[in-house]
Amino acid sequence: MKISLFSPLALALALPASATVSIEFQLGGIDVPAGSIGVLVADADGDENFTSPAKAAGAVLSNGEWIGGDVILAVFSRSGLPDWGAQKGFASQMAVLDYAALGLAEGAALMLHIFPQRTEGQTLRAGEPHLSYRTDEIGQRTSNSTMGFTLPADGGAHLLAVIGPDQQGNADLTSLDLRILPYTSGSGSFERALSSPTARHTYYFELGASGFLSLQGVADTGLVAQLIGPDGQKVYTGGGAGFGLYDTLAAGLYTLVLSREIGGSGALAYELDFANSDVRFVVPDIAVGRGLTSLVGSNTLDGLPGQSVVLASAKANPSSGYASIVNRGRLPDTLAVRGSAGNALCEIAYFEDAANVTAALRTGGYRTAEITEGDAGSALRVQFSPNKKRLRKKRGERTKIPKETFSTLVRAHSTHGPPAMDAASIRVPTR
Amino acid sequence: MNCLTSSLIRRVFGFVFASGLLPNLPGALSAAEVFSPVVGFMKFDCHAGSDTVVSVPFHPTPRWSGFAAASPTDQGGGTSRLALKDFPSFAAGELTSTPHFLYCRDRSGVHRGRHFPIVQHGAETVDVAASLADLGSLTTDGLVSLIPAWTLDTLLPPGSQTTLHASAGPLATERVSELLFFDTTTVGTSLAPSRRFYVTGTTWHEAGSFAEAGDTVIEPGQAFVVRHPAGVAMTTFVPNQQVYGGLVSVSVRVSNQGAQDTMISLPRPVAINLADLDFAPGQFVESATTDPGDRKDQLLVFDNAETLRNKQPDAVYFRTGGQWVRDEPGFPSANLAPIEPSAGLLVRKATGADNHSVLWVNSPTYDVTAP
Repeated sequence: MKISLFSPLALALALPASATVSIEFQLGGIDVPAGSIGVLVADADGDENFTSPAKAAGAVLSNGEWIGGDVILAVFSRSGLPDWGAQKGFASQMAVLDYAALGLAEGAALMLHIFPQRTEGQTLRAGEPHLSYRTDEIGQRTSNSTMGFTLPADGGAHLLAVIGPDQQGNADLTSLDLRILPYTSGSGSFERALSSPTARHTYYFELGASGFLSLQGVADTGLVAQLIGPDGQKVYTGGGAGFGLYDTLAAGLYTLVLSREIGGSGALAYELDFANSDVRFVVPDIAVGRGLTSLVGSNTLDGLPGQSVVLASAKANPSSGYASIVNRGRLPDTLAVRGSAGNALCEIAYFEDAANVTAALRTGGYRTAEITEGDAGSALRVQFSPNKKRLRKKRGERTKIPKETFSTLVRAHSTHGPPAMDAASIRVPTR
Repeated sequence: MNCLTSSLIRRVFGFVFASGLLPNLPGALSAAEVFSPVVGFMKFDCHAGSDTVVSVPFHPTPRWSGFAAASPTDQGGGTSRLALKDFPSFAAGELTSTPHFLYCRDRSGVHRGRHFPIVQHGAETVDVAASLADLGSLTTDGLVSLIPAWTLDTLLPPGSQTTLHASAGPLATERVSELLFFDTTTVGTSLAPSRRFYVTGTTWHEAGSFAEAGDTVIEPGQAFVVRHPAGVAMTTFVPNQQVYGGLVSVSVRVSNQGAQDTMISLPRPVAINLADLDFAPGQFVESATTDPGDRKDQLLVFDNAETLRNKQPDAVYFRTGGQWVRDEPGFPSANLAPIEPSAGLLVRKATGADNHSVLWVNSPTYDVTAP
C-alpha cells in the first residue's frame, strides 16, 4: 500500500506523538557483502504477510516509506564494530518511534531485510537481491532483549538483539549468508558447505542484457537450488547430488538460493560452477555387443581401440548384433550416426526397433533423438546377411562356405558444440 | 552540622557535613569570609531486571563563586558574556575543556536558580548559552557560581563506579547494565528514553554510535534511568556532593500541538510534600474540575520499588480547587503526598497557546547556606 502525501499517515506525521518507543537493534554476525544495509519493516496492513522486496520495485528505502503493505521503521548501515570479528552485523539505536505517525500498533510483526546493493533513499529494483529474517523463538534472542520481532507496548526503551554463536549469542543466523556471483567475470566456482540443516547460501548477480548461464552443482544428497528471476518468480529449481542449469536468461537481477531438504544433519558440502557461456560438450559413446545387455565399449570414447565385437555366422546364416549410442556429455544433441554398407557377399542392414534405417545409416543422415547425459540413448540392431549363393565354393562334389569376415564400423558424431566422435565395429566371420 | 535520615527504606540520604557561613554578599563586612558547603549523599537501590529512576540533587564543588562585574552583553548566536568581579584569572579553556555551568544564585529575576552552559571564557569573563532575556535582571553584584557539570565520567567514573555492572563491549551479549536518558526534544507524551549508555571497565559509550560518551553532560534537574538486566546483583547508586542551598529552576516544555511531557527531577535530597513543590499557578495549570475533560497539567510519579523494566508511572496527580489530588476514584487530596528525594517527576503540560518553556523554581525546604 502506497501512502500519498495527503493520506491519513501524512496527517498523523503532523501531529504530536501520543507516545513513543525507542529500540536498540542488533543482529549479527552474518556473512553479507560490505556496504549492505538493513531495513526493519513492520507489517502495517495487518495481513500477516510481508511483501518480498523482489516484488516491490520502486519502493523507497527511507524511514516511513512502504514496501508493499509494510512500513519501514529504520534503515541501518552495517555496523563497523570490531566485535563482529570477521563477520558483519547491524547495531543501531532508533531513538523515537511514533506508532501513531507510522500507522502502527503494538503487536505488529517485524521483519529485517538486508540489501547488498542499495543505500538509504534508493528505490528497489525488480528482483532486488535481499535476505529476509525474523524469528518468533525466544531462545534466538539475547537474554537481555526486552522485545521480539513484534512491536512492544508504547512508551518504553527496548532492546532487540539476535546474536550468533561466534559473538556468544544463541541465534542461528546461518540462513543469512549472501555473496555476489561474479557473472561478469565469465566463470567461477564455489566450494562450500551448508553448515547446518537451517543454513542457506544466497548468491546474486545481474545480467545487463540477455545472457547465457551455465550452472553446475555437485553436492551431497539433499541440496536444493532455486534461481529467482527479476519478476520474483522461480526460474529454476534443482538439486540432489548433481544439478545443472544451462539457459539463456533475460536481463535483470537474479538470486540463487542453495538450501537443504527438510531433515538431515551435519554439514552439506557442495561445489558450484558457473559460467556466462555454455560450457557443456557432446560426448558420443558407442558400444556394441551380441545383445544390449552385453555391450563392449561403454565409456571408451573417441574411437579408441577395443570397441569391437565378433558375431558368429555358421554356414553363412544371418547374424545380428547391437550398437548402443549414448551422449555422455551435458550438451543435448541429436547425434549423427553412420554405418558401413554391405557388399555383394554380405548385406548389412540397420534397424531401429522395427524400422529399417539402413539407408540413413549408410549416408550418415541418421540422427538419434536429442539425448544428453543420463539418457538411454538409441539402440540399433545390425543384421549381417551373407549371400550364400555367392559365397559357396564347389570342392568336388561338395560345396563349402569359405572363411570370410564382414564388418561394419558404426560411427557417431556430435552435431552441436565442439566436434566429437566415437566408433565401434561389429565383425562377422563365416565358417 | 545537620544530619538527616530518611524514613524511606530504599532511600538513604543525609547531610554529612555542613557549616553554613554567609558568603561574601554585597554590602556585608569586608573582612575575609569563608563558608563550608553543605555536602550530602543519597543511596538508591538498583534492582535486577528493573529500571530505577534516579537523579543527582547535588552539585560538584564550584570552581568559583562571586559576583557579576556588570550586566551581561549579547554576543550573538544565542550567547551572552558576563564579566566577573575579583579577577578570577581563569586559565585558558579550563571552564570548557571540562564542561561548566553558570549557576545564577540571585533570589529574584527570571534567571534565579538557573544554570547556563559556559561555551567559552576569558580570564575574567564567561560566555554562556543564554539570551539576555534568559539572564533577566542579572547585573552588577549578581550572585553566581561556576559549577562543573556532572558528566558520566565524573558522576560514575568507569574505573571505580559500582552502580552499573560493567559491560564487556557494545554487543548485546556483552552488555550488562545501562543508563538511559529521557527524550527532551520530541513533542508528545509517554516519550520513551531516547539515549542509551553503557560503561565498560574503562569508558562510557552511547549505544548507536558506540562512540565514547564520558563527557556527556547530566543537566541539573535531569532524571535518568539505571537499568539492570535480570539475573544480576542489586547495586546501589550513591550520588554525593554539595547540596543546593538556594533556588533551583528547571525548564518544563509546553507545546501548542498537544500535551507535552518533560521528565525532571526534584533537586533536593529530602522528601517533600506535593504542596511544597513550589509549582506556582503560572507554572502548573490547575484543572477546573476533576472531570477528565477538564484535565490540565498533571504530575506523574514513578515507583522505584516496583521491579520492572519500562515501568509506567505509579501515580498521577493534578491540581484542582487550590489543592493537589490524586487521579484515582474519589480524587483524594494529595497535598501531603510525599515526593521522594531526587525523585523523577514527569510533568505533563496541557496544550498551550504557543510553544514555550515555563520555569519551575524550587526553593529548599531546609535551611542551609551554600552556593
